[in-house]
Amino acid sequence: MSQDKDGFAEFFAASWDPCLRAVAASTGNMTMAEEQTAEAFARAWMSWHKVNHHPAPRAWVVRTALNAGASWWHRRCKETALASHDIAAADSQRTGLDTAVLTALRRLPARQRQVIVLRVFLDLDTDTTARQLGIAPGTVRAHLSRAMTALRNELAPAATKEIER
Amino acid sequence: MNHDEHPNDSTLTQELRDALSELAAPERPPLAAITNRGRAHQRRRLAGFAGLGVTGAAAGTALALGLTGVHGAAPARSTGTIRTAAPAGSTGTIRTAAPAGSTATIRTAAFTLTRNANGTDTLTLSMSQMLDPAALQRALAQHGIRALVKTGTYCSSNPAAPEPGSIGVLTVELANGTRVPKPAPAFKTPANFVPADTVTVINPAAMPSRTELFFGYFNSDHGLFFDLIYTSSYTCSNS
Repeated sequence: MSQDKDGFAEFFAASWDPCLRAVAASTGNMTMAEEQTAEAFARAWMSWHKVNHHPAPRAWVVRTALNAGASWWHRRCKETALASHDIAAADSQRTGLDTAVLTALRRLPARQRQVIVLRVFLDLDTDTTARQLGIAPGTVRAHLSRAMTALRNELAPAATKEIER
Repeated sequence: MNHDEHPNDSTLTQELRDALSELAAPERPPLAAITNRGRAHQRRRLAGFAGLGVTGAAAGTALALGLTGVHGAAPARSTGTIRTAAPAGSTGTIRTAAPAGSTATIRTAAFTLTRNANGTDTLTLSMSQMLDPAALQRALAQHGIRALVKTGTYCSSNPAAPEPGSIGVLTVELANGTRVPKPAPAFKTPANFVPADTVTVINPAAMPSRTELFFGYFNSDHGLFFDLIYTSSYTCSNS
């Protein structure tokens, strides 16, 4: 590995799993998430001297992976998944992506979901999240608040039913 | 999480994190798989435009603007030719027979840019000549295409802008006008490399606001790589 790639191996080893999980939780498809995350890490390797000095390299990878979802191969995977709903459902059940909380997460508007991914899953602070998303810190707080409220409302009935049993 | 949170948020946050940690995620791929993929991207960058041929782009040459590149010495043919000094760092000289903003065909030794009837533009490169990035950037601007053209470097935005191929900003066609088949996902091929013997059709109307096209030219292999970047937020690297 060339000199300017120093540190990438350690970053990859430490960050693959949390980045993949964050992408999978957001997209709801582990197979697609694996592909998108691998692509994002390849791009991180290509631009490692830049990513290495990024304030939140894992966020860079996750954002790149999620943005890569807009590319043609993602659309194709999505079309395939839609055409093979049973396979997608089986993937979701097998990987644990069908839990109530993650299902509720994926029902959130995209921006709220992005804030959850960065703030909760990647544990970024508000300012870093704001810089990542190109929005004001106050907007991050507002999205987070709305997201948490929506999740509580979504999950509350199930919790109540559990208590009533 | 911080002091902004709702009293129940910590429970919910933990629930989210628990759900995440309980995911049955596949094993991490070997590092070599990632680096090989990155190298493959880089190779495609370098090989991107090798062998590009000029095709239907020649259609409007009667209106041609002569825009000579680094080796260019095209004579000024018409009266009324406007000579524009090339910017610092450029070795090209613009000779234009049309007013600024014209969308007539721009032809140099290294590339041809033609406005199509449907408002798109067709770019073809001749690999027999070195490309003058500044000349290409000026030509694209002349056609109203916001673009950044650089040599030996790759520029990207973070967060990344949409893939230009996926939103119809740029398509790659074979010389006979047919769309280049998209590789299967298993090939893990990004959409932003132009294979040899193709022409590139740019649709400036599809470019999102505050974005521009990036073209990276690599002298050593006459390669060209493209992407979409946010005009006010991008960085460039040589890796």
